[in-house]
Amino acid sequence: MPEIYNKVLKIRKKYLQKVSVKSSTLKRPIYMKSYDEKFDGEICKAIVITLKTRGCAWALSEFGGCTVCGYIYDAALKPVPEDLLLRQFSYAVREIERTNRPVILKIFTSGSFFDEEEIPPPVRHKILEIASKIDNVREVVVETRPEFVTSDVLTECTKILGDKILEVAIGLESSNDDIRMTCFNKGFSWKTFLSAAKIIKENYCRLKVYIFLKPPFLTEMEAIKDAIRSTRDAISAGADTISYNLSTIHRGTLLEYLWKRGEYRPPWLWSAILVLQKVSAIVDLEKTKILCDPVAAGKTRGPHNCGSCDRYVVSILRKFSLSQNPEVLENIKFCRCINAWKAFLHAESYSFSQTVNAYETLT
Amino acid sequence: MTGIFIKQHCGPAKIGVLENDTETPALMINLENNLASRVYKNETLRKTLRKFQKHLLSSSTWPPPEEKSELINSNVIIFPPPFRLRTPFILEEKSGTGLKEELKRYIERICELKSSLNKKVLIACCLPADFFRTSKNQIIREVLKEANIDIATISGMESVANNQRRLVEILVNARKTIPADIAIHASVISLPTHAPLLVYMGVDILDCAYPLIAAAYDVYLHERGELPLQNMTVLSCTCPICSKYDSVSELKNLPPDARFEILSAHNLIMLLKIINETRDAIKRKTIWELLENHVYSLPVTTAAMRHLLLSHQEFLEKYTPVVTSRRVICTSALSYYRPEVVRFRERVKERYMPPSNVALVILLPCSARKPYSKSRTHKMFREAIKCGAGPKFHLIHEVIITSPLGIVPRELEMTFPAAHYDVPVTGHWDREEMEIAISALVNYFQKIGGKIGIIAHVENAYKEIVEEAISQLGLEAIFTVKNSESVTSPSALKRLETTVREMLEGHELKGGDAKDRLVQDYRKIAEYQFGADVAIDLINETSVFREEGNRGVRVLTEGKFVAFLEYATGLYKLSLHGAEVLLLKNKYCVFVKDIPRTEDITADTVIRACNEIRPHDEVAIILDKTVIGIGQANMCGQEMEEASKGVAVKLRLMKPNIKSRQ
Repeated sequence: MPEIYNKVLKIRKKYLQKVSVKSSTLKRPIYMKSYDEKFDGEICKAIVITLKTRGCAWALSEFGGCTVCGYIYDAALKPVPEDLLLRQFSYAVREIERTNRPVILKIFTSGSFFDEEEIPPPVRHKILEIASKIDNVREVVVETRPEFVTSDVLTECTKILGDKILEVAIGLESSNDDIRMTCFNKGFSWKTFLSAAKIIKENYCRLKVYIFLKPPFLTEMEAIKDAIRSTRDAISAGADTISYNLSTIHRGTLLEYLWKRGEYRPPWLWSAILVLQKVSAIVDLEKTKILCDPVAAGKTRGPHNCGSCDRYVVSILRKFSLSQNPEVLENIKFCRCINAWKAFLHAESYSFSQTVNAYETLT
Repeated sequence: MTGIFIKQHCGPAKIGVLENDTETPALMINLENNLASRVYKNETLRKTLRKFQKHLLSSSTWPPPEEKSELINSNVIIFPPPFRLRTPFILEEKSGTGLKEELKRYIERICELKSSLNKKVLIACCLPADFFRTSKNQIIREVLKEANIDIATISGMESVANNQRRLVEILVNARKTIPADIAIHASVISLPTHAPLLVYMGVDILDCAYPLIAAAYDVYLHERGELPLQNMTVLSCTCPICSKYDSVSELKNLPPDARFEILSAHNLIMLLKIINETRDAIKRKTIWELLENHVYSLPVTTAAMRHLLLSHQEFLEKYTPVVTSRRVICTSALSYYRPEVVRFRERVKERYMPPSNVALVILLPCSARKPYSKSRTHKMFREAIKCGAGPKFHLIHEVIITSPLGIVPRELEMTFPAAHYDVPVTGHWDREEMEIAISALVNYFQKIGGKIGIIAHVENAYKEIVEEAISQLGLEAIFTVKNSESVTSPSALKRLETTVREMLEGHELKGGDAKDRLVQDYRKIAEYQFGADVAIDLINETSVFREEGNRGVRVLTEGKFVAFLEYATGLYKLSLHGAEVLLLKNKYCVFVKDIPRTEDITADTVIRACNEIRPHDEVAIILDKTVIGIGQANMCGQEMEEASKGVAVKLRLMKPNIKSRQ
């Protein structure tokens, strides 16, 4: 086990103490949002709901959880009564009822949907049952760590959902075990992921894979290469959707610690463009959906460029995610920070350290 | 064979040759991202740069990008470190076994790669700068000693570019940790202001990252720093790139992409120019003068230099030649701690003992002309002293007070750097130089011990120095220059003469004393050069001194020619008989495996070398416990043992009738 988890655990404990003082309501979900997304050729309304559960099992474990994730601080940290979980979910139902358009329902917990400590089986059944009864729901997306994916659970879920498609999302981050273990402290191996992917595909569910750009301790170029390789690996493992998570600095994470020391910079948006360009050239976009919806883009804590072109580049990323049309990525307007980005890629290939970005404040 | 062939040293800065015949210090440019070649897509720019290409090392990182095989073109491969080595947390483990294993595995993988490649490429490993700020040095050293790599890239240097303490600490530690035959590449810190200083701290390779970053932000590099293009008023540069433009506004009005191209080419040429200047300075042994010019451009480099001089003097001294043919120019306050100067002060303090049987010490001011006794003022002093002393002249010890050497005893006045330094003389002494002189003087009187007659024929600041020194020790001195007088005024000189006469009254003359003093004077130089134990055997009562024209003095001890004192350097060159003394005392000896075939003895034939050896020292070459030759060291003793390549000793004299053991 790498030494890194000691540090992660230390930071985790310190922050958990801080947040456990403030108690918040369990009656409302953590987060809810809707936006447009393409699904099987038609533009649908995607509704995302993040339920407040006990919290991710891995983050609460003695290994401290992932180096980049601070969602645990939004969790209840104690078992949430079944009726309250259902009450949280009812917000999403109300949202669906307000529209006539086809809907993609994304039920997240910032943990694992299939973890029975977070969502007890009766709640899981009830939620899926409700979803299955709403006509305009085309697809239900849930996220989970791969170790909770079992054949029994999936058979049961697909049975409840009937003709509605279930998509299971797994945060793979990288297909490289070294990177996933050392840089993310993610705690599961490529093998575990593969067996989960196999079960998902065997049960005629879709597989969504999250890939992280850019992992700590990697240079921007290495991160770009890793994202492209991971995409290729994930697709060969059967992924139907690839979603790129451009990193944002969460509070109380190792990533924040590194960022504050000047040893981490969130990715350039140019890097995301480059990844999408390369990936759309090698991936059949008819079969595989490629998504990239950056959070906090343009902020110092989120993926950013120079400040003057961030909005524009983000709009390109969104346009591509919605249209799945690679032409969107061509003929992008020039910004002078492209040269800076290239110069940093060059510099990092000597240094293998992200501290080169200290020069970003030049002039 | 891997690594760097060390040609010559000037302080820790060195001229080396890499496997592919590139001379260091050199610049490295990374082709992998194709940025470099993209920058020079303009044909005229490429032509211009080709002129400078000789000192560019092209590099790439392993593994190469799948789509192209640019690796073929590069002559350095930087092997990316495993992710665990990049986390700062690997250093937190107390025992360091995790670090050692990971490092070993990393180096093994690099070595495998190297043996699998048929092409002649240099391989670089990458070590985070943080590694050199911990007590894990020993582990790193052990692993690297076994390794078959050419270059060690220190990563993350850019984060300490503005932190003088860390900058110095990391680089000095890195040079101490990384074996001498591995070249050091300091990554992404190739600022024009820093480059010569980095080279002086032992860095061999810099890279082209910074000039490109600066260009991307419209920053224009010049010899002493950098300037945002928008603030520039006059286009002062005349490099082949800039000379195509008539004014700054023309440059400012270029479209951004073209401007980036032009600026990065200019910046690169500027950095190359600075590196070339530095290389030239090392070869001409004037790196110090270059540094003194250069470091003052920024507070951080000035502070780094001071920090280096005050805290790591022993590191600098180790690599500084004991003698060069250059004048030692001391123009700024940094020069008070110039390694040659500090070495002189330290040796006078530690190796040198005042002559015995001295009845009177005369303190004199220094002169612009060197050696002092050739100057007009000193000729006047000596005439007065000789007149006053008569046949008792050998009872007098003359000591010259000077900055920044402290004190120079008369018998060492020809010895490097006493006759070779040059300072801006204004008559004003700052507190620091006064302290230096006072402590040297105090040390001198402490060594004499007890009461002794002291005449101080000095004025102004010199007088203050003498007063302070004697008051610290409770001694008394007679000042022979009155406040209104100059040291060369007839009345002062007359007073000097009569005081000397008076002070020496009552001291009896013994036969043989004069000869004894002569022997001592010559021995003092040997003491300074080799230490007291060697000196006492080299020069004794039987010694005869024969002056040979104005070249120097031949020394015969017990009838045998042992050494030759060169007037030009004021140091001895030994004969084979003299070398026997070194072997007897086990000092300044280099033990070799085999008979040298050329006059350059390479480091791989050296089995052991004495620790006190410095570049340009006289060393005895020992094979099977016998002296086989004498030569001039080209490295320090430790480096001779460590390095597997490079000239260790330049052989000057070999014993006749020595046959190869083959």
